[in-house]
Amino acid sequence: MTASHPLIDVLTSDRADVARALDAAERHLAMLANLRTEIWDTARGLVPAGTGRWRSQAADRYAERLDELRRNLFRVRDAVDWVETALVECITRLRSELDAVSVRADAVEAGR
Amino acid sequence: MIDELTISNGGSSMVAIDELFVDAARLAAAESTIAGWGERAGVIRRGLELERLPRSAQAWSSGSPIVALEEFDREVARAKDLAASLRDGLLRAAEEYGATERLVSALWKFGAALTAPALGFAAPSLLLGGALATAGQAAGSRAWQAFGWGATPLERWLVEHRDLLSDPIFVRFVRLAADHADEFAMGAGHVPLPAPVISAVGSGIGAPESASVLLGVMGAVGLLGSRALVDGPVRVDRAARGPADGGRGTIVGAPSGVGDLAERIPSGGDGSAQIRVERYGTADDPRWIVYVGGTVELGLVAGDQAMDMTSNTHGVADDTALDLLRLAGADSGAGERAAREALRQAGMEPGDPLLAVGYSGGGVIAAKLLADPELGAVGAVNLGGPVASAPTREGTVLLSIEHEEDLVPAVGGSGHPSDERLTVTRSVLDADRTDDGVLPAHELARYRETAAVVAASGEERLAAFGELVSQITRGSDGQGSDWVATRVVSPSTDAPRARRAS
Repeated sequence: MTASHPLIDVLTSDRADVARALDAAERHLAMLANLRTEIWDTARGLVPAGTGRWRSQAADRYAERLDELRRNLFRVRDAVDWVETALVECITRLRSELDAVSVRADAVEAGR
Repeated sequence: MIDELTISNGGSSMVAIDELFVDAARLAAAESTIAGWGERAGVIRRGLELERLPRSAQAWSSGSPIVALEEFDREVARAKDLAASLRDGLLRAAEEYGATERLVSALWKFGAALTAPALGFAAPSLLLGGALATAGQAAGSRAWQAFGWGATPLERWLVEHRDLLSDPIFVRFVRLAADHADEFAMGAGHVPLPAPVISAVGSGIGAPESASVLLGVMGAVGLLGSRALVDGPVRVDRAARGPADGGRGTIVGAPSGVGDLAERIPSGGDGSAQIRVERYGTADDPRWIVYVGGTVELGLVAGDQAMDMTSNTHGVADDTALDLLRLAGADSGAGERAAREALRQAGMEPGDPLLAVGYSGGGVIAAKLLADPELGAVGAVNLGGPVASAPTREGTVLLSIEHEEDLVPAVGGSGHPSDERLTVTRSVLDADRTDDGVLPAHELARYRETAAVVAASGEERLAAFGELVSQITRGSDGQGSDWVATRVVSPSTDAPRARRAS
């Protein structure tokens, strides 16, 4: 039985860690994509239209706060987009890292 | 006139326009949805934290997904809190609206309770003064017309001020008068009690008790030959609905909601049918809708028209248990007995699901059918009938549509609160209108318009009532039949005769 090379062991372990992290990130990206789709599909219709059928100072204040809620929901949409972008970049980074570790491990293996 | 509905639920302290309740429900749904987003994002964040993503993979231009998720959480929490705060504000406004309405109503009642006995004490002199004024007016009018000067000043004043009858303030007066007629009568009878005591006694006596006493008195007078407010037996005959009838009824499409129900209420004039019955479902599972028209005959003497003031007075008097003790007169109004008989002849069995719909006096009958535990009525719609005092039955819904300017619903008094009564009010008269009849806000056409607005409302309880209609019809065609109700009067009396339809 051939003894393992310490460097190969380290690289193999690194590769497994990165692959596991990449898999986890991709699974969570799929979950996030579902959530993002739902938010984009429903956020606009969540807030009552505020037809202005009742006219009073209180009604005007209510209409202003409805607008505030609408703006808030737009920020929620922006926020979920930001999460998605960050996670996609993270996944891209992990893929690069995985490729690099694999190349290094292959080179060490070939040099033995 | 606007499509604004004010909704009050007898058992609830909230009163508000339908849009407010619709918005409150939507904001509650929004709050729940937003909270769900937060929970799902929390699962994703915790999952990523457990996986301990390499720091190097998170330090790019977009930043860490964990940090982005924390920012997302903050935005979601803000949106959720804002939706909850808006919803609470709306419900608080409805509560305050209801409290204000109750306070105003209580003040009016307090004033009426104190003044009614005093007015009653002064009744003889008031009546004498009124009689003298009337006689003077009559004599003056004759002289005025003899000179060919046209309409008298009083006639012109009445024409110019007929809006008074449709003034919401006047409507409130009518409601109070219906509640406090007994205090007035005790004052007029010089009952030897102080006015506050009379007021206290009278507070327990409303329009139904007054109507019951009136019927008892008129029933006793009836023994002497008078037919004023004295009801009698009623006969119900099937009216042909054209050549397609064939005795089994014509095929009718399912009504889609409250608006359609209102459209199908018969007018009942000129001896035509006052009652319509529709059967849905199969022979094993029949479900029914009965439509009862409004008052046709306005006189106080009971004639062969079953839908008259005598029937209406019985309808209001039936609302009190006191009426069971009345020894003279019929047990119930001719209209109600006619509706029950039409349903029986159409084939309905006790316990079959029933939806009752009525306009004006027919609305009172619909409420009566709903309250009867022996029938299987699941809901009723009242358009402009005085049903505030009508008994209700647990697990059923009485949807009462009333116009703010209509005094007819007010003659039933203030009534009693009930979880089963859902009252929808709407203002229907424009300030600058140039029409109309004596009681324009009571016209069936206007109630049909309001019923259409109710049908279009997204308010949760109104939408649920629309579902009730669907449960009866299940979207299938039914069989409809029309019925003519006729009170059986002795030919020896001089009771008025209804005209027969040609």
